[in-house]
Amino acid sequence: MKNIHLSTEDGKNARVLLHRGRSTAPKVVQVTSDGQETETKTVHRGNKALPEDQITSQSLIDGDPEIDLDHIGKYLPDSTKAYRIPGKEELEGNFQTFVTLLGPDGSVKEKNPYSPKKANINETVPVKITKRMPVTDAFQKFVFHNHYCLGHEDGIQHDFLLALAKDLEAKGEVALLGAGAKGNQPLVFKDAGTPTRAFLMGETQGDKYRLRILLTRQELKMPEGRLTADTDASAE
Amino acid sequence: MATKAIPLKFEDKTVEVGIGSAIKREELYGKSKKSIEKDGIVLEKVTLSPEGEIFLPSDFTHLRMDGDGCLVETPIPKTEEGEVLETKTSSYKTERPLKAATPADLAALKIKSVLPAESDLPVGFYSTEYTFRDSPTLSAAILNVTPTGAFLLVGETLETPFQGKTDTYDFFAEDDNAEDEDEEGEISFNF
Repeated sequence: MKNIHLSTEDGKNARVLLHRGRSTAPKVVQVTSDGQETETKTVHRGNKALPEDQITSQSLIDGDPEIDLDHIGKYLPDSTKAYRIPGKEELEGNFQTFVTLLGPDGSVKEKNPYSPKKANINETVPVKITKRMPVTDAFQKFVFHNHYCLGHEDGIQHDFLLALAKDLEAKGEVALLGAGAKGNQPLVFKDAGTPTRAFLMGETQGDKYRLRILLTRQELKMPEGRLTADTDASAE
Repeated sequence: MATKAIPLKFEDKTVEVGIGSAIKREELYGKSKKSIEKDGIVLEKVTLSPEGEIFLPSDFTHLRMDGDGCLVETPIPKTEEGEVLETKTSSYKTERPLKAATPADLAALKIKSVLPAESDLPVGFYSTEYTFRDSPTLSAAILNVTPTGAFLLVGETLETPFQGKTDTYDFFAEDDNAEDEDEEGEISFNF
């Protein structure tokens, strides 16, 4: 389990447990008609004779290429990733990774060397509650693609989390969490992870609590392009 | 917006909700693309076998096979307990129940798809099940009717129980369980 160092608005802070819920969807296995379990295997196509983008039924008829008998049907072996210049045989080293940001229209916005983010949820400076909003507003404005839940290891952590959950539930609010010294950075849950905005939601049942960190990277709204298309269509 | 209606049963009445095509995050914000480069040239990724052979990703395909390595073209879906899963009809062809939901229901949903919707229902949350095509399983879905529009949020529900002071952690996802330390191991302190 991970830990998260969390601080409330009144300056109280604690390192508590962070874990995921269990899916309620049934686990599906694919079996044969006689009940044998199946699995997906990565298999060589045996079509080295023709480049991928030239394989059509007509090109196979015209070219009559031979299949690659040495490899066809073989499973993908334990292997390593490597990189080379397209069309060349030699492998390359000392390369760099770049990240290109593309706009919604596909245009290039910027290009920078890749710089993986470090996890920031369990640092000396705790993750802070920066502002609050009504629960319903949060669900009407954001798409929560996943969530973690908080847990405790001892009585003091339990009391800290229970008090936090009671406060959020009583006010009908969720709390926006922020990392970093100013509490304005998105959360990064693991090294090289994707920064994510997060809200804390609390519920209680007697002296039991449920605190969920709701993760979001998307607002709940229609894209501009679709809104414009609808406006143009209705104007016509 | 071009939509296709799904019939839903809400409080003994059938309501039709128009569903549009899924909103992708990149439509709103764009996307980032990684590239591996050397001296300004974009390199292609290859696979290197232990014998030193080089393969391209396009050299391989994915096939479903049984334990003997034979191709299985029409596998039968079952649960882990061995129960055969019957095919559920697409939500566009069959009426499914719709009921009022709470923010807690929405918080439990791990959203995988956001579908724009057209609905006359009042502002609020409504839960149902959804599948685009005939399928052995249904996905959990919540119709979120907001003051500015409606959206069908499709995903899976994660169970997160309430925690008391002395509850043990045996009900969370297995991949979150810490490795057990060897409690029987020798403890030796040299003072």
